[in-house]
Amino acid sequence: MIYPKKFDVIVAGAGHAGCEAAYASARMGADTLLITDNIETIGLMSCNPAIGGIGKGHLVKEIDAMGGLMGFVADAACIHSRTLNLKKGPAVQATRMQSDRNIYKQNVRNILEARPNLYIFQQSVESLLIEKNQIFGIKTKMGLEIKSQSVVLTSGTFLDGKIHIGLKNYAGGRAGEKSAISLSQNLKTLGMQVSRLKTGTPPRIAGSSIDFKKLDIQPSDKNTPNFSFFQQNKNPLPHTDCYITRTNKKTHDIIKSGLDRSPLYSGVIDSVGPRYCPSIEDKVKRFADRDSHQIFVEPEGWNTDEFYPNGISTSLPFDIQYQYVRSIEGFENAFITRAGYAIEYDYFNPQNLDYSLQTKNIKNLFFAGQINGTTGYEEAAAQGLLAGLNAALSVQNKPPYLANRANSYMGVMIDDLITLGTTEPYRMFTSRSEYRLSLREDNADIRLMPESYKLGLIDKKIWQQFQQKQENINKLTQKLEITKLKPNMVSSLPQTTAANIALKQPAIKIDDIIPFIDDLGFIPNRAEKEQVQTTIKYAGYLQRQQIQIKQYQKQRKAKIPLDFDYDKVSGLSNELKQKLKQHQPADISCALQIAGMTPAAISLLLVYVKRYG
Amino acid sequence: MDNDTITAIATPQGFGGVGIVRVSGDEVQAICKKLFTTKLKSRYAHYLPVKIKNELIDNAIIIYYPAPHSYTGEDVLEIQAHGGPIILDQILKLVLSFDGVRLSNPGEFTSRAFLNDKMDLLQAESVMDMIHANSEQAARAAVSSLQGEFSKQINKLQDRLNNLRVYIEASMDFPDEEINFKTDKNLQKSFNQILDIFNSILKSTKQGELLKHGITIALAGAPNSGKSSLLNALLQRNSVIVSDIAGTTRDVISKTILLDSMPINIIDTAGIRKSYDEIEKIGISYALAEYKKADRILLIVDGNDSDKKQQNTIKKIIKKLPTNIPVDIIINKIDLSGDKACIKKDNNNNKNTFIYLSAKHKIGLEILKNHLKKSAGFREHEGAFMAKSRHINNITEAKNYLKLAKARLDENDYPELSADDLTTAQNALSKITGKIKPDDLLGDIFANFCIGK
Repeated sequence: MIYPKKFDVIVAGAGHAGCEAAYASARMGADTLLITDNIETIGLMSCNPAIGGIGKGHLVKEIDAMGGLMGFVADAACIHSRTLNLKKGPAVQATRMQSDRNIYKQNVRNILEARPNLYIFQQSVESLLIEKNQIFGIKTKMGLEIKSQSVVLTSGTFLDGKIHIGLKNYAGGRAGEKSAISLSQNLKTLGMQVSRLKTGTPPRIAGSSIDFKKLDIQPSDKNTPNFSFFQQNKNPLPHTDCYITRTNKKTHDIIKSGLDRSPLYSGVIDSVGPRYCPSIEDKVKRFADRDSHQIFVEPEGWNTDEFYPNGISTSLPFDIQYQYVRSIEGFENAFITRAGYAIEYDYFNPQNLDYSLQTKNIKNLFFAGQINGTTGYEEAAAQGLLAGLNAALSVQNKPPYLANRANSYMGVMIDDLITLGTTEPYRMFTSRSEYRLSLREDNADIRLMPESYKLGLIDKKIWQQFQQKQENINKLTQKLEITKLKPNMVSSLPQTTAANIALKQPAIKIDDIIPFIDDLGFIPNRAEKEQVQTTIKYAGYLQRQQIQIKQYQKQRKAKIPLDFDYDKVSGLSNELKQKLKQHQPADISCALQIAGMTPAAISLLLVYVKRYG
Repeated sequence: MDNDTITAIATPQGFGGVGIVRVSGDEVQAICKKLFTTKLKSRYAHYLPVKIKNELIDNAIIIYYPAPHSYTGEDVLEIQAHGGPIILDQILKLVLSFDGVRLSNPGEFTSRAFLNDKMDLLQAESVMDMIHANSEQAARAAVSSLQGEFSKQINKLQDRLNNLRVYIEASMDFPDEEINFKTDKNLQKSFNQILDIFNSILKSTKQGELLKHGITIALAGAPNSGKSSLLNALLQRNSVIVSDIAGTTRDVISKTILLDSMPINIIDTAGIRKSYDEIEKIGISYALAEYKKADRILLIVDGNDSDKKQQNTIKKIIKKLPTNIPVDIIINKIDLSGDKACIKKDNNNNKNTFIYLSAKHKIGLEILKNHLKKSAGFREHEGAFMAKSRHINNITEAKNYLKLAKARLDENDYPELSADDLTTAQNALSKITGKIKPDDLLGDIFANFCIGK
């Protein structure tokens, strides 16, 4: 049958990408259908129960600044939090939270269910309805056709998923769920370039069987940070500890003894896994000189006894898993509740997408999340938000919103993906950003909220709070400029100095100065003080980056047409011609990301693009 | 593409009547204000003194073209001075001393002109040819100066900087991996070692002297082979005592000639031979020191000697010369030997070039001059000088950022700032190697550290 209601946007898949996509689309006022295999698993954290971390925390803050749900849901489900890199600088500082898996999931579902314009439907998507290179809906397993103007596909690791435990393997999506084989077949027939990736999880352990006395305690930070800038977490959960233990020589020997039955080393799996998240057998083999590796033992929530031993993901056979887990200090009597496994899945070359995450060959079809070769909840959620937003904008005949390398980590990710593609699961790192000092967790609201508000993603109430914060920051900055500090007021000050100049000294902090400001008229909060402090202390560096950003923005405006004929550019080496043809950079800024590019080649391109483009 | 303010000597290098230093970009107005007390009228030829710290360099014609009515479409300042290379160099350096100004890349003025719609489509074709040709020239010039030791050292620097950065980046992107570089003494050592490499490179490129003095050529050869005669022939005046008594030239003599306006320092040294004369011995030890400073050595051989003797002489002398400096072999006195003036490659190893000439009778000198110009990377638009002085600027810039990065760590400031300085240093060096996109930093991190949970 054909479903009687036609939707503006259909989001297929309700993982972290799908939930953000549906939420963003609905907030934009589009009639949105979220379709999932299983309503019970909406917003499920299928890997480790944590949100944030280096680079990832940045993404969560950006999602929050764009009105997404991940930030405040993580705040509400937080049972342990840490600010990483506290001593390494505000730009690489990042928030990481352990979440109560069930509460997280429950919150996501509640929010989506309460959202106007958003409908949730349970059914497997079997194929896409396409005519003349334009999508007009989806078809489900029971033969139901649902029509829409746009479709966002967020199928995660479900596409032709194959699970490996030892030399045994079977078809399946994440943790015990079904694999979407027919959808994968359908996409392949549409001419999408497909490849395989691999990821893995560790065995889970029953807390009652762990001897916690033998483990090091990693306590939660005393100051609980918030991901959400302006949505207060009214009912914080009590916090719990995490633990640390280590593998030992015996563990490594057991692992080595099982390598002949490892699907990784026996050639059963040949797809690429993430280099930064190697399985324990990979670590033992590649770093043979190390006789110990850290394991972070993370609780999964208050109403479960399962623990997630982060650092020993594996696809070794279960008997080896059983033995090596029990060789670890504190795990001598460990009871494994779920076996570790590796999963291979299809992903589509993200170079087939444009900046809005729309596929180049099928209009109004958007891809987000693991289907694009990324890994991680945060990476998926950020793409989902942008894809959902752009799907709604396209329905409303508005120009797409394009994140860029200079305004966000979201932009860095999308630029990397669509320009360079990826050969391993793509995860965010701060070192991926050339404008890192400008893209901080603490200023994600300043970077993104004005535009989000204009787009309609941010409520008026939050916008007012944002404006108040901006006003306070400006006031405090101005006051610092007119406040004179005398040497006896602050240590290490040789003479009377303007407060904003004195603050540039590494030893002087803004809290040393605040007491000497007259008539400030308000008590600045931590976020406001830190914003002012960083802006002043980093002024020189930020200025340098602003110059680079200006150049980048000009380069982005120099568009290279899709059908540009690189053979016409005389003087370009064949090697570069090949690379350019392969990458099809959208503009000069993308061309600059390609390895081996030279300044002369860029000048030539500029001239030719202008001449023939 | 970028809106830096760029400058260059716009006229071909040399002793033209007038030479033009052209400046284009956003900083032009600020520069005008700092250079001249008079407010410049648009497109009006002012006659004004150009001064460095109140010292007059030249009285020059100054024309200011505000955007968009200029060659490039940006604000342009033209300083038309007397055409000597030293005056023009001084003016160029003066302009470069202002913030936000850098030397232009080959063809950059013209490509800006094109991009700002100052040219029609027909002209565009020739612009492309020019960018192509110029970048090839620049590439060739860069290659010629990137050969040998210099290139090795730049690559070594890049590697070392990359290692430092990998280390610091790993500590920030993977804080759980227990990398603590603040307590690491090797890091300090690494920083210092890299600074040493920077210093030695800068020293070897004789920073600052280069633009003024060009390249240096040392004359080598057995006594009485005709080194001083060759110098005189090149100088075209009899300023060095030339006699037929072996060992006349005892001191190191340095003279500068201009080959089509390119300054070339020629150093004549004491003839190399076993000498019992103590004074001459001192002269010889000077000679060996001079060779090390040269960009190129001309080994002069008496062409009137037997072939076997010639070969022996060459072998013996080359053994004493520094191995990393190119050597050309001059077979002199062809007026006596009857050989023809010519240039050819060594039949055996193809390493050395042989030039047959007569210094005394000035036969074959043009062949030598052309060879010198070519091997110095000299071309009309941009020679090895511009390329080389850009390199020196880039190296100096990189070194300064490395020092900043170190200072940050020393002051116990945030390492993310050091990382940014290191990146900027790497970018400066990348301008020499022409590689914009650095190597796979994350790949290096994963290869060196056991990362991941």
